[in-house]
Amino acid sequence: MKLTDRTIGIIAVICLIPISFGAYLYYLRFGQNGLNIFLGGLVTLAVYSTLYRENPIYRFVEHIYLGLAAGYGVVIAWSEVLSTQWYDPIFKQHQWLWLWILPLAIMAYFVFSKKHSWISRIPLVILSGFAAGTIFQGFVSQYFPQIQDSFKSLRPTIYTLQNPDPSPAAHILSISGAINNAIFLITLTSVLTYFFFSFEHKTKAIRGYAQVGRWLMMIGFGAIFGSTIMTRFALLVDRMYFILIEWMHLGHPII
Amino acid sequence: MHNWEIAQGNTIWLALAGVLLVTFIVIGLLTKLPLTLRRPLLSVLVFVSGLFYALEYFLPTHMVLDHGVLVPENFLTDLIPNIINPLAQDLSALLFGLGLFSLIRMHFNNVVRQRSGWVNSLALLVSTLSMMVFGFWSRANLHHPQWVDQVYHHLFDGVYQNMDAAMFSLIAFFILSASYRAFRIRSFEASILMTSALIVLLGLSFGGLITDKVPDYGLWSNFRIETWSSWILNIISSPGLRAIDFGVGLGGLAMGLRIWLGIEKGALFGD
Repeated sequence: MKLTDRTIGIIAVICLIPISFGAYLYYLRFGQNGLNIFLGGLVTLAVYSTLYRENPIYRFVEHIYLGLAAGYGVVIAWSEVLSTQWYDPIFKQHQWLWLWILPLAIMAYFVFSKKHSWISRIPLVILSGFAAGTIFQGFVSQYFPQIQDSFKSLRPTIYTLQNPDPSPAAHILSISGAINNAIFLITLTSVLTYFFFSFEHKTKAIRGYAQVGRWLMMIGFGAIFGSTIMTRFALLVDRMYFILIEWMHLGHPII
Repeated sequence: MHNWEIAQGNTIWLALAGVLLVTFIVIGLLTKLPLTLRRPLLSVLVFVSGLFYALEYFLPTHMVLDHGVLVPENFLTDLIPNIINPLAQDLSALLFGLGLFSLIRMHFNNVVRQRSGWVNSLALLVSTLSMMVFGFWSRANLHHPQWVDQVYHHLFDGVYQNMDAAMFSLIAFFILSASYRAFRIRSFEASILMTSALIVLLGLSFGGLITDKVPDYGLWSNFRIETWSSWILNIISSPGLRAIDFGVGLGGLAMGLRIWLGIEKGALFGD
Protein backbone atom coordinates (compact mmCIF):
# COMPACT_ATOMS: atom_id res chain seq x y z
CA MET A 1 0.00 0.00 0.00
CA LYS A 2 1.42 3.38 -0.97
CA LEU A 3 0.97 6.00 1.72
CA THR A 4 0.31 9.61 0.76
CA ASP A 5 2.17 12.42 2.46
CA ARG A 6 -0.99 13.57 4.18
CA THR A 7 -1.55 10.06 5.63
CA ILE A 8 2.07 9.90 6.81
CA GLY A 9 1.64 13.30 8.46
CA ILE A 10 -1.54 12.18 10.25
CA ILE A 11 0.11 8.92 11.40
CA ALA A 12 3.14 10.91 12.63
CA VAL A 13 0.89 13.26 14.64
CA ILE A 14 -1.07 10.30 16.11
CA CYS A 15 2.20 8.55 17.02
CA LEU A 16 3.29 11.69 18.86
CA ILE A 17 0.71 10.98 21.61
CA PRO A 18 2.16 7.64 22.88
CA ILE A 19 5.69 8.92 22.20
CA SER A 20 5.08 11.99 24.36
CA PHE A 21 3.56 9.79 27.08
CA GLY A 22 6.58 7.47 26.99
CA ALA A 23 8.94 10.45 27.08
CA TYR A 24 7.06 11.85 30.09
CA LEU A 25 7.35 8.52 31.94
CA TYR A 26 11.09 8.36 31.23
CA TYR A 27 11.45 11.96 32.38
CA LEU A 28 9.59 11.23 35.64
CA ARG A 29 11.73 8.20 36.38
CA PHE A 30 15.18 9.18 35.13
CA GLY A 31 15.09 12.99 34.78
CA GLN A 32 16.60 14.98 31.90
CA ASN A 33 19.03 12.23 30.93
CA GLY A 34 16.17 9.73 30.80
CA LEU A 35 14.49 11.86 28.16
CA ASN A 36 17.68 11.78 26.10
CA ILE A 37 17.81 7.99 26.37
CA PHE A 38 14.14 7.68 25.39
CA LEU A 39 14.59 9.89 22.31
CA GLY A 40 17.84 8.12 21.42
CA GLY A 41 16.25 4.67 21.53
CA LEU A 42 13.33 5.83 19.45
CA VAL A 43 15.43 7.33 16.67
CA THR A 44 17.82 4.36 16.68
CA LEU A 45 14.93 1.95 16.08
CA ALA A 46 13.55 4.28 13.40
CA VAL A 47 16.93 4.28 11.62
CA TYR A 48 17.19 0.48 11.87
CA SER A 49 13.74 0.11 10.34
CA THR A 50 15.42 0.53 6.92
CA LEU A 51 17.02 -2.90 7.39
CA TYR A 52 13.60 -4.41 6.74
CA ARG A 53 13.06 -2.23 3.69
CA GLU A 54 12.96 1.41 2.60
CA ASN A 55 10.02 2.95 4.48
CA PRO A 56 8.43 6.33 5.29
CA ILE A 57 9.55 6.27 8.95
CA TYR A 58 13.21 5.93 7.91
CA ARG A 59 12.87 8.69 5.31
CA PHE A 60 11.28 10.95 7.93
CA VAL A 61 14.04 10.48 10.51
CA GLU A 62 16.68 10.68 7.78
CA HIS A 63 15.42 14.18 6.96
CA ILE A 64 15.43 15.12 10.64
CA TYR A 65 19.02 13.88 10.87
CA LEU A 66 20.09 15.94 7.84
CA GLY A 67 18.33 19.01 9.22
CA LEU A 68 19.97 18.67 12.63
CA ALA A 69 23.37 18.09 11.00
CA ALA A 70 22.98 21.19 8.80
CA GLY A 71 21.83 23.30 11.76
CA TYR A 72 24.66 22.04 13.94
CA GLY A 73 27.12 22.77 11.11
CA VAL A 74 26.01 26.40 11.05
CA VAL A 75 26.27 26.70 14.84
CA ILE A 76 29.80 25.25 14.78
CA ALA A 77 30.86 27.35 11.75
CA TRP A 78 29.91 30.45 13.70
CA SER A 79 30.97 29.57 17.24
CA GLU A 80 34.22 27.74 16.46
CA VAL A 81 35.42 29.63 13.39
CA LEU A 82 33.72 32.90 12.50
CA SER A 83 33.07 34.17 16.01
CA THR A 84 36.65 33.63 17.23
CA GLN A 85 38.61 34.22 14.02
CA TRP A 86 36.54 36.84 12.25
CA TYR A 87 33.92 38.66 14.36
CA ASP A 88 36.02 39.07 17.51
CA PRO A 89 39.16 40.33 15.71
CA ILE A 90 37.08 42.91 13.82
CA PHE A 91 34.66 44.14 16.48
CA LYS A 92 36.61 43.52 19.68
CA GLN A 93 40.24 43.87 18.63
CA HIS A 94 39.59 46.43 15.86
CA GLN A 95 41.55 44.54 13.22
CA TRP A 96 39.34 45.84 10.42
CA LEU A 97 41.41 44.38 7.60
CA TRP A 98 39.62 41.07 8.27
CA LEU A 99 36.59 42.78 6.72
CA TRP A 100 38.15 42.10 3.31
CA ILE A 101 37.00 38.50 3.57
CA LEU A 102 33.43 39.77 3.19
CA PRO A 103 33.74 40.83 -0.50
CA LEU A 104 35.12 37.38 -1.37
CA ALA A 105 32.22 35.69 0.43
CA ILE A 106 29.71 37.96 -1.33
CA MET A 107 31.25 37.00 -4.68
CA ALA A 108 30.63 33.32 -3.91
CA TYR A 109 26.89 33.97 -3.64
CA PHE A 110 26.84 35.05 -7.30
CA VAL A 111 26.54 31.33 -8.07
CA PHE A 112 22.78 31.92 -7.97
CA SER A 113 22.99 34.52 -10.76
CA LYS A 114 22.56 33.03 -14.21
CA LYS A 115 24.42 35.86 -15.96
CA HIS A 116 27.33 36.48 -13.59
CA SER A 117 27.80 33.09 -11.95
CA TRP A 118 31.48 33.06 -13.03
CA ILE A 119 32.21 35.65 -10.30
CA SER A 120 31.52 32.94 -7.71
CA ARG A 121 34.65 31.14 -8.93
CA ILE A 122 36.93 33.91 -7.60
CA PRO A 123 36.85 32.85 -3.91
CA LEU A 124 36.96 29.22 -5.00
CA VAL A 125 40.13 29.68 -7.09
CA ILE A 126 41.77 31.50 -4.18
CA LEU A 127 40.97 28.58 -1.86
CA SER A 128 42.12 26.15 -4.60
CA GLY A 129 45.40 28.07 -4.91
CA PHE A 130 45.99 27.72 -1.18
CA ALA A 131 45.08 24.03 -1.38
CA ALA A 132 47.47 23.51 -4.33
CA GLY A 133 50.23 25.28 -2.37
CA THR A 134 49.70 23.10 0.68
CA ILE A 135 49.87 19.97 -1.50
CA PHE A 136 53.55 20.73 -2.33
CA GLN A 137 54.46 21.24 1.30
CA GLY A 138 52.32 18.30 2.38
CA PHE A 139 53.96 16.01 -0.16
CA VAL A 140 57.42 16.82 1.15
CA SER A 141 56.50 16.53 4.83
CA GLN A 142 54.30 13.44 4.45
CA TYR A 143 55.92 11.28 1.76
CA PHE A 144 59.65 11.96 2.06
CA PRO A 145 59.88 10.46 5.60
CA GLN A 146 57.79 7.50 4.40
CA ILE A 147 60.11 6.88 1.43
CA GLN A 148 63.12 7.07 3.75
CA ASP A 149 61.46 4.69 6.23
CA SER A 150 60.67 2.17 3.46
CA PHE A 151 64.32 1.36 2.82
CA LYS A 152 64.73 -1.12 5.64
CA SER A 153 67.86 -3.08 6.39
CA LEU A 154 67.97 -6.62 4.97
CA ARG A 155 71.11 -7.74 6.82
CA PRO A 156 70.55 -9.35 10.23
CA THR A 157 72.82 -8.18 13.05
CA ILE A 158 72.12 -11.17 15.28
CA TYR A 159 71.84 -14.66 13.85
CA THR A 160 68.81 -15.86 15.84
CA LEU A 161 65.37 -16.61 14.49
CA GLN A 162 63.65 -14.23 16.87
CA ASN A 163 64.44 -10.88 18.44
CA PRO A 164 65.56 -11.26 22.07
CA ASP A 165 62.97 -10.44 24.77
CA PRO A 166 62.28 -7.73 25.80
CA SER A 167 62.18 -5.68 22.57
CA PRO A 168 65.72 -4.92 21.41
CA ALA A 169 67.25 -1.61 20.42
CA ALA A 170 66.38 -0.30 16.96
CA HIS A 171 69.68 -1.35 15.35
CA ILE A 172 69.39 -5.03 16.40
CA LEU A 173 67.85 -7.12 13.63
CA SER A 174 67.21 -10.86 13.82
CA ILE A 175 66.89 -13.23 10.84
CA SER A 176 63.09 -13.17 11.04
CA GLY A 177 63.18 -9.37 11.23
CA ALA A 178 65.31 -9.28 8.06
CA ILE A 179 62.89 -11.65 6.30
CA ASN A 180 59.97 -9.43 7.34
CA ASN A 181 61.82 -6.39 6.00
CA ALA A 182 62.40 -8.22 2.70
CA ILE A 183 58.69 -9.09 2.44
CA PHE A 184 57.85 -5.45 3.24
CA LEU A 185 60.13 -4.24 0.42
CA ILE A 186 58.84 -6.86 -2.05
CA THR A 187 55.23 -5.87 -1.28
CA LEU A 188 55.99 -2.17 -1.66
CA THR A 189 57.93 -2.46 -4.91
CA SER A 190 55.65 -5.08 -6.51
CA VAL A 191 52.51 -3.01 -5.79
CA LEU A 192 54.30 0.06 -7.17
CA THR A 193 55.22 -2.00 -10.27
CA TYR A 194 51.58 -3.05 -10.68
CA PHE A 195 50.51 0.60 -10.72
CA PHE A 196 53.38 1.77 -12.93
CA PHE A 197 51.74 2.58 -16.25
CA SER A 198 54.45 4.77 -17.79
CA PHE A 199 55.67 1.81 -19.84
CA GLU A 200 54.02 -1.37 -21.00
CA HIS A 201 54.59 -4.47 -18.86
CA LYS A 202 56.17 -6.41 -21.74
CA THR A 203 58.68 -8.76 -20.18
CA LYS A 204 57.57 -11.87 -18.36
CA ALA A 205 59.54 -10.89 -15.23
CA ILE A 206 57.80 -7.54 -14.85
CA ARG A 207 54.39 -9.03 -15.59
CA GLY A 208 55.01 -11.74 -12.99
CA TYR A 209 56.28 -9.24 -10.41
CA ALA A 210 53.21 -7.03 -11.00
CA GLN A 211 51.02 -10.13 -10.56
CA VAL A 212 52.70 -10.85 -7.21
CA GLY A 213 51.97 -7.22 -6.31
CA ARG A 214 48.31 -7.79 -7.18
CA TRP A 215 48.11 -10.85 -4.91
CA LEU A 216 49.86 -9.09 -2.04
CA MET A 217 47.51 -6.16 -2.50
CA MET A 218 44.57 -8.54 -2.17
CA ILE A 219 45.95 -9.74 1.18
CA GLY A 220 46.27 -6.09 2.20
CA PHE A 221 42.72 -5.31 1.09
CA GLY A 222 41.47 -8.33 3.00
CA ALA A 223 43.20 -7.03 6.13
CA ILE A 224 41.66 -3.59 5.70
CA PHE A 225 38.30 -5.20 5.07
CA GLY A 226 38.61 -7.27 8.25
CA SER A 227 39.54 -4.29 10.41
CA THR A 228 36.77 -2.16 8.84
CA ILE A 229 34.21 -4.85 9.70
CA MET A 230 35.48 -4.88 13.27
CA THR A 231 35.19 -1.06 13.54
CA ARG A 232 31.64 -1.08 12.22
CA PHE A 233 30.66 -3.96 14.46
CA ALA A 234 32.04 -2.08 17.45
CA LEU A 235 29.56 0.69 16.58
CA LEU A 236 26.77 -1.86 16.21
CA VAL A 237 27.59 -3.46 19.55
CA ASP A 238 27.51 0.00 21.14
CA ARG A 239 24.03 0.60 19.68
CA MET A 240 22.79 -2.80 20.81
CA TYR A 241 24.11 -2.09 24.31
CA PHE A 242 22.30 1.25 24.25
CA ILE A 243 19.00 -0.28 23.12
CA LEU A 244 19.04 -3.38 25.34
CA ILE A 245 20.69 -2.08 28.50
CA GLU A 246 20.15 1.68 28.63
CA TRP A 247 16.83 1.98 26.82
CA MET A 248 15.04 -1.27 27.65
CA HIS A 249 16.86 -1.92 30.97
CA LEU A 250 17.24 -5.62 30.16
CA GLY A 251 20.47 -6.01 32.10
CA HIS A 252 22.94 -4.31 34.40
CA PRO A 253 25.09 -1.60 32.85
CA ILE A 254 28.80 -2.38 32.53
CA ILE A 255 30.68 0.19 34.58
CA MET B 1 48.91 40.83 13.59
CA HIS B 2 49.56 44.28 15.13
CA ASN B 3 49.58 45.96 11.72
CA TRP B 4 45.98 44.87 11.35
CA GLU B 5 44.91 46.87 14.43
CA ILE B 6 44.00 50.19 12.85
CA ALA B 7 40.38 51.08 13.40
CA GLN B 8 38.94 51.94 16.80
CA GLY B 9 35.45 52.56 18.16
CA ASN B 10 32.88 53.67 15.62
CA THR B 11 35.50 53.80 12.89
CA ILE B 12 34.76 50.11 12.34
CA TRP B 13 31.34 50.95 10.90
CA LEU B 14 32.94 53.45 8.53
CA ALA B 15 35.42 50.75 7.53
CA LEU B 16 32.56 48.30 6.95
CA ALA B 17 30.74 50.84 4.78
CA GLY B 18 33.97 51.50 2.86
CA VAL B 19 34.59 47.80 2.30
CA LEU B 20 31.02 47.27 1.08
CA LEU B 21 31.33 50.28 -1.26
CA VAL B 22 34.58 48.95 -2.72
CA THR B 23 32.96 45.50 -3.00
CA PHE B 24 30.08 46.86 -5.06
CA ILE B 25 32.47 48.83 -7.29
CA VAL B 26 34.71 45.77 -7.83
CA ILE B 27 31.75 43.49 -8.50
CA GLY B 28 30.31 46.12 -10.87
CA LEU B 29 33.62 46.17 -12.76
CA LEU B 30 33.77 42.37 -12.78
CA THR B 31 30.33 42.15 -14.38
CA LYS B 32 31.66 44.32 -17.24
CA LEU B 33 34.80 42.21 -17.68
CA PRO B 34 35.08 40.81 -21.24
CA LEU B 35 34.69 37.08 -21.64
CA THR B 36 38.29 36.70 -22.85
CA LEU B 37 39.74 38.19 -19.65
CA ARG B 38 37.84 36.01 -17.18
CA ARG B 39 40.03 32.93 -17.46
CA PRO B 40 43.33 34.88 -17.24
CA LEU B 41 42.03 36.68 -14.12
CA LEU B 42 41.14 33.38 -12.43
CA SER B 43 44.52 31.91 -13.46
CA VAL B 44 46.40 34.87 -11.98
CA LEU B 45 44.44 34.64 -8.70
CA VAL B 46 45.05 30.90 -8.30
CA PHE B 47 48.73 31.34 -9.18
CA VAL B 48 49.28 34.16 -6.68
CA SER B 49 47.54 32.33 -3.83
CA GLY B 50 49.51 29.15 -4.54
CA LEU B 51 52.75 31.11 -5.01
CA PHE B 52 52.65 32.13 -1.36
CA TYR B 53 53.23 28.55 -0.23
CA ALA B 54 55.86 27.96 -2.92
CA LEU B 55 57.79 31.07 -1.82
CA GLU B 56 57.43 30.12 1.83
CA TYR B 57 58.98 26.75 1.02
CA PHE B 58 61.72 27.79 -1.40
CA LEU B 59 62.94 31.11 0.09
CA PRO B 60 66.00 30.85 2.39
CA THR B 61 65.21 29.97 5.98
CA HIS B 62 66.84 30.24 9.38
CA MET B 63 66.43 27.75 12.21
CA VAL B 64 64.13 28.75 15.08
CA LEU B 65 63.43 26.90 18.33
CA ASP B 66 59.71 26.02 18.40
CA HIS B 67 58.47 24.05 21.45
CA GLY B 68 61.97 22.63 21.93
CA VAL B 69 62.38 21.61 18.27
CA LEU B 70 64.50 23.42 15.68
CA VAL B 71 62.35 24.28 12.66
CA PRO B 72 63.22 26.20 9.48
CA GLU B 73 61.44 29.56 9.18
CA ASN B 74 61.46 32.67 7.01
CA PHE B 75 59.48 35.92 7.07
CA LEU B 76 56.47 34.23 5.41
CA THR B 77 56.20 31.30 7.83
CA ASP B 78 54.39 33.26 10.56
CA LEU B 79 51.75 34.43 8.09
CA ILE B 80 50.45 30.88 7.56
CA PRO B 81 48.95 30.33 11.05
CA ASN B 82 48.16 34.00 11.65
CA ILE B 83 46.68 35.17 8.34
CA ILE B 84 46.38 32.50 5.63
CA ASN B 85 44.85 29.66 7.65
CA PRO B 86 42.24 31.84 9.43
CA LEU B 87 41.47 33.52 6.08
CA ALA B 88 40.85 30.17 4.37
CA GLN B 89 38.84 28.87 7.34
CA ASP B 90 36.72 32.05 7.61
CA LEU B 91 36.04 32.04 3.88
CA SER B 92 35.09 28.35 3.92
CA ALA B 93 32.78 28.96 6.92
CA LEU B 94 31.12 31.88 5.11
CA LEU B 95 30.66 29.66 2.05
CA PHE B 96 28.82 27.16 4.27
CA GLY B 97 25.83 29.47 3.88
CA LEU B 98 25.73 28.60 0.15
CA GLY B 99 24.93 24.97 0.88
CA LEU B 100 22.49 25.87 3.63
CA PHE B 101 20.70 28.36 1.38
CA SER B 102 20.36 25.77 -1.42
CA LEU B 103 19.09 23.14 1.01
CA ILE B 104 16.52 25.46 2.60
CA ARG B 105 15.38 26.85 -0.75
CA MET B 106 14.81 23.36 -2.19
CA HIS B 107 12.89 22.02 0.82
CA PHE B 108 10.95 25.25 1.30
CA ASN B 109 9.75 24.99 -2.32
CA ASN B 110 8.79 21.33 -1.67
CA VAL B 111 6.64 22.39 1.28
CA VAL B 112 5.05 25.41 -0.39
CA ARG B 113 4.19 23.47 -3.56
CA GLN B 114 3.25 20.34 -1.57
CA ARG B 115 5.45 18.12 -3.75
CA SER B 116 5.83 14.44 -2.97
CA GLY B 117 7.62 14.03 0.39
CA TRP B 118 6.81 17.57 1.59
CA VAL B 119 6.26 16.27 5.15
CA ASN B 120 9.88 15.12 5.21
CA SER B 121 10.99 18.49 3.85
CA LEU B 122 9.03 20.22 6.60
CA ALA B 123 10.71 17.97 9.20
CA LEU B 124 14.10 18.94 7.77
CA LEU B 125 13.31 22.67 7.89
CA VAL B 126 11.97 22.48 11.45
CA SER B 127 14.95 20.45 12.69
CA THR B 128 17.47 22.77 10.98
CA LEU B 129 15.81 25.84 12.43
CA SER B 130 15.45 24.35 15.93
CA MET B 131 19.10 23.30 16.05
CA MET B 132 20.23 26.73 14.86
CA VAL B 133 18.00 28.70 17.25
CA PHE B 134 18.73 26.62 20.35
CA GLY B 135 22.38 26.11 19.40
CA PHE B 136 23.06 29.84 19.06
CA TRP B 137 20.95 30.73 22.05
CA SER B 138 22.58 28.13 24.26
CA ARG B 139 26.13 28.91 23.17
CA ALA B 140 25.72 32.69 23.29
CA ASN B 141 27.29 34.37 26.30
CA LEU B 142 24.07 36.24 27.00
CA HIS B 143 21.93 35.28 29.98
CA HIS B 144 19.42 32.66 28.86
CA PRO B 145 16.86 30.45 30.64
CA GLN B 146 17.94 26.98 31.70
CA TRP B 147 15.33 25.26 29.53
CA VAL B 148 17.16 26.52 26.42
CA ASP B 149 20.22 24.51 27.43
CA GLN B 150 18.01 21.50 28.14
CA VAL B 151 16.31 21.63 24.73
CA TYR B 152 19.70 21.96 23.00
CA HIS B 153 20.98 19.05 25.10
CA HIS B 154 18.00 16.89 24.00
CA LEU B 155 18.41 17.85 20.35
CA PHE B 156 22.15 17.23 20.29
CA ASP B 157 22.78 14.42 22.79
CA GLY B 158 19.36 12.78 22.66
CA VAL B 159 18.53 12.87 18.96
CA TYR B 160 21.50 13.92 16.80
CA GLN B 161 24.28 11.90 18.41
CA ASN B 162 22.19 8.74 18.69
CA MET B 163 21.07 9.05 15.08
CA ASP B 164 24.68 9.60 14.03
CA ALA B 165 25.82 6.43 15.80
CA ALA B 166 22.86 4.45 14.40
CA MET B 167 23.52 5.67 10.82
CA PHE B 168 27.19 4.66 10.99
CA SER B 169 26.44 1.30 12.59
CA LEU B 170 24.06 0.55 9.70
CA ILE B 171 27.18 0.17 7.55
CA ALA B 172 27.96 -3.04 9.47
CA PHE B 173 24.92 -4.69 7.84
CA PHE B 174 25.68 -3.31 4.39
CA ILE B 175 29.33 -4.36 4.59
CA LEU B 176 28.24 -7.91 5.47
CA SER B 177 25.82 -8.09 2.57
CA ALA B 178 28.44 -6.63 0.20
CA SER B 179 31.08 -9.10 1.38
CA TYR B 180 28.70 -12.03 0.88
CA ARG B 181 28.20 -10.97 -2.72
CA ALA B 182 31.92 -10.28 -3.24
CA PHE B 183 33.02 -13.66 -1.89
CA ARG B 184 30.62 -15.56 -4.13
CA ILE B 185 33.05 -14.78 -6.95
CA ARG B 186 35.27 -17.85 -6.82
CA SER B 187 38.74 -16.82 -7.89
CA PHE B 188 42.22 -17.17 -6.44
CA GLU B 189 42.33 -13.45 -5.59
CA ALA B 190 38.91 -13.49 -3.85
CA SER B 191 40.09 -16.49 -1.83
CA ILE B 192 43.26 -14.82 -0.55
CA LEU B 193 41.29 -11.67 0.20
CA MET B 194 38.76 -13.66 2.23
CA THR B 195 41.44 -15.67 4.06
CA SER B 196 43.33 -12.55 5.01
CA ALA B 197 40.11 -10.81 6.13
CA LEU B 198 39.17 -13.84 8.23
CA ILE B 199 42.56 -13.97 9.97
CA VAL B 200 42.46 -10.24 10.76
CA LEU B 201 38.84 -10.50 11.94
CA LEU B 202 39.71 -13.40 14.24
CA GLY B 203 42.86 -11.69 15.42
CA LEU B 204 40.95 -8.55 16.37
CA SER B 205 38.04 -10.38 18.01
CA PHE B 206 37.75 -13.80 19.67
CA GLY B 207 40.53 -15.49 17.64
CA GLY B 208 42.77 -15.28 20.66
CA LEU B 209 40.55 -17.88 22.39
CA ILE B 210 41.24 -20.46 19.63
CA THR B 211 44.99 -20.31 20.10
CA ASP B 212 44.80 -19.51 23.80
CA LYS B 213 46.79 -22.60 24.79
CA VAL B 214 49.72 -21.72 22.54
CA PRO B 215 52.46 -19.94 24.55
CA ASP B 216 52.80 -16.23 23.80
CA TYR B 217 56.62 -16.26 24.03
CA GLY B 218 59.46 -17.60 21.89
CA LEU B 219 58.89 -19.25 18.52
CA TRP B 220 55.56 -20.68 19.69
CA SER B 221 54.01 -17.21 19.66
CA ASN B 222 54.17 -17.33 15.84
CA PHE B 223 51.34 -19.87 15.93
CA ARG B 224 48.90 -17.53 17.66
CA ILE B 225 46.17 -15.97 15.53
CA GLU B 226 46.73 -12.47 16.85
CA THR B 227 50.41 -12.73 15.75
CA TRP B 228 49.29 -13.67 12.22
CA SER B 229 46.77 -10.84 12.24
CA SER B 230 49.30 -8.19 13.27
CA TRP B 231 51.89 -9.66 10.86
CA ILE B 232 49.47 -9.29 7.94
CA LEU B 233 48.58 -5.76 9.00
CA ASN B 234 52.19 -4.60 9.52
CA ILE B 235 54.18 -6.52 6.92
CA ILE B 236 51.73 -6.94 4.00
CA SER B 237 48.89 -4.44 4.37
CA SER B 238 51.00 -1.49 5.48
CA PRO B 239 53.51 -1.48 2.53
CA GLY B 240 50.72 -2.27 0.05
CA LEU B 241 48.75 0.72 1.25
CA ARG B 242 51.90 2.82 1.33
CA ALA B 243 52.55 2.01 -2.34
CA ILE B 244 48.99 3.01 -3.24
CA ASP B 245 49.40 6.14 -1.12
CA PHE B 246 52.56 7.09 -3.04
CA GLY B 247 50.54 6.90 -6.24
CA VAL B 248 47.76 9.00 -4.72
CA GLY B 249 50.33 11.53 -3.49
CA LEU B 250 51.96 11.83 -6.91
CA GLY B 251 48.53 12.19 -8.52
CA GLY B 252 47.64 14.90 -5.98
CA LEU B 253 50.91 16.69 -6.67
CA ALA B 254 50.28 16.63 -10.44
CA MET B 255 46.71 17.84 -9.86
CA GLY B 256 47.94 20.61 -7.54
CA LEU B 257 50.46 21.71 -10.16
CA ARG B 258 47.79 21.75 -12.87
CA ILE B 259 45.48 23.86 -10.69
CA TRP B 260 48.26 26.21 -9.62
CA LEU B 261 49.39 26.84 -13.20
CA GLY B 262 45.80 27.22 -14.40
CA ILE B 263 46.13 24.31 -16.86
CA GLU B 264 43.24 22.46 -15.26
CA LYS B 265 39.88 22.87 -16.95
CA GLY B 266 36.64 21.57 -15.40
CA ALA B 267 34.37 23.55 -13.11
CA LEU B 268 36.90 26.18 -12.01
CA PHE B 269 38.50 27.27 -15.26
CA GLY B 270 36.09 25.96 -17.88
CA ASP B 271 33.97 28.38 -19.91
